[in-house]
Amino acid sequence: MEALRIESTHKTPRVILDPENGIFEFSGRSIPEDSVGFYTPIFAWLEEYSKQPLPVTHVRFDLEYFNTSSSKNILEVLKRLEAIHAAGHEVRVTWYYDEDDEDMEETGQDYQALLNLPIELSVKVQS
Amino acid sequence: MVATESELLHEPALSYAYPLYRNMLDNSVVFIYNGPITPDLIVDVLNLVEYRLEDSREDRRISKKLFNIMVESFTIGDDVERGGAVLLVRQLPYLYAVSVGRRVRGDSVYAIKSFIDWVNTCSSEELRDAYHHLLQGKATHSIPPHIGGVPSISILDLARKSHDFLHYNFEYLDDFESFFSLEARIRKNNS
Amino acid sequence: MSMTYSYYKNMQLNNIIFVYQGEVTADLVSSILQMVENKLEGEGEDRKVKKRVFNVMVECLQNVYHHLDALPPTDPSNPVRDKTALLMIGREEKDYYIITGNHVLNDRIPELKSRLDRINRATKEELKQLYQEVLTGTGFSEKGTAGLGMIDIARKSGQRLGYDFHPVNDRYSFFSLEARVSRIPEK
Repeated sequence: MEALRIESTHKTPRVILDPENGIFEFSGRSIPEDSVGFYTPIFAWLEEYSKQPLPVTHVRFDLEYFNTSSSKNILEVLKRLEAIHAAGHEVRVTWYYDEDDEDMEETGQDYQALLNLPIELSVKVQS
Repeated sequence: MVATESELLHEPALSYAYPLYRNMLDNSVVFIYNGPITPDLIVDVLNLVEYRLEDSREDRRISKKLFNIMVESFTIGDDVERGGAVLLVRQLPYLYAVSVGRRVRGDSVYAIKSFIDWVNTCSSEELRDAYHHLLQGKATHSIPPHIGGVPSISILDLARKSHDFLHYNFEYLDDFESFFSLEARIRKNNS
Repeated sequence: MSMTYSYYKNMQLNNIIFVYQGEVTADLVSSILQMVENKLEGEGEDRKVKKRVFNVMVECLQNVYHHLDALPPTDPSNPVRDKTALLMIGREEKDYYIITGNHVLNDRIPELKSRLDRINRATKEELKQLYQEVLTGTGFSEKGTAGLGMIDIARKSGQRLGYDFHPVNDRYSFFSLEARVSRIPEK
């Protein structure tokens, strides 16, 4: 299976889904023109990956800001990861937030509460 | 001397400049935008505000919150075809206020008003629960996803992030439309 | 009437797209330019018109940015006590317009007026000549490049400059300068 790589723009995140090493990344901003259009290929890819996932998948969310329409799509991404996890293939999600960004921390907590998936909240190291 | 047509056309905006400046200064308004809202515009506006905050050496916690609130506020002005939306940011010594204004159907005024009134009575736990339901696409609390074209989740999100009452106003335009404005505030001393 | 609605009404009435009030710094100027550039781009405006609006805007913002330095911000009669200005951009059916506003000392008004009137009376050719005179230090004289900016705006705009002095107090007035750019592309 081929990796999915989407480079970031000033309004959409960088997405890396690497099936070889089981390392996924979502970073940057997410306020796309058409959030369903942006996330649909990602859902399709995850659907495919869920058929033969690695024993452990590491997922890194490192987002700067996003709107609620992206929040719904991120929840969908996480739900697909939850299904992989429930099928016995470990998925470890790390949700990074800036220590000054209490809203991003709260969003991480929202996802923790809504899903049966280990989501670790982690303060981003300042560059 | 008789004014030429072009001079007459020049006049309104030019003579409005000082009253507008004075009014903005008195209300601590930093900028006002009127037109369609696109993600590109949001990014550009955030950039502008970022420089302004740097110049006023704002605390990063407050800046982050202001950004998050702006991103969501502007979503409310999305999808407005006629007249576009209005965005404005006010910077006072003790608070920031982000406002969005747009036309809504006159027959949805009552529903929007009741929803915001309800949101303003909610505790943070109630807000969180309602937000979670909407995020999952569940129709409980009898909250539809949109009320008069306004995404209800955005209003809940703003209420959660601002930790303050949402301020709103409706202005009657005609039998079909009203002008809806919503202001979310960020107080510098409590969040 | 709510504040947001009254702004909306006035902005619609005057075809204003964007207005900024506050301190003007180099970073701020560049972020405003970026926004306007993207906006013109997004709306599919003619390439030449786009470029002209952008160039005029750059000059207007530069002009107000440099102009502000001439003001003593700590002067007790300065109505705002800091370097705040107004920037406004509008789009009408035929023109874009850019208005900048800032406080000026009343005793500078006659000189500013006479410069603006001279610029507005000048033909395209005369403007070019005036520009070169100021550049070489023979025209407008004493105040350095302040006059150069306005000549440049007039040349790039291709239309007469609009201006207004609104009295504020004994020492200061609010000076608004308007530059227009036609939306009808030149042949």
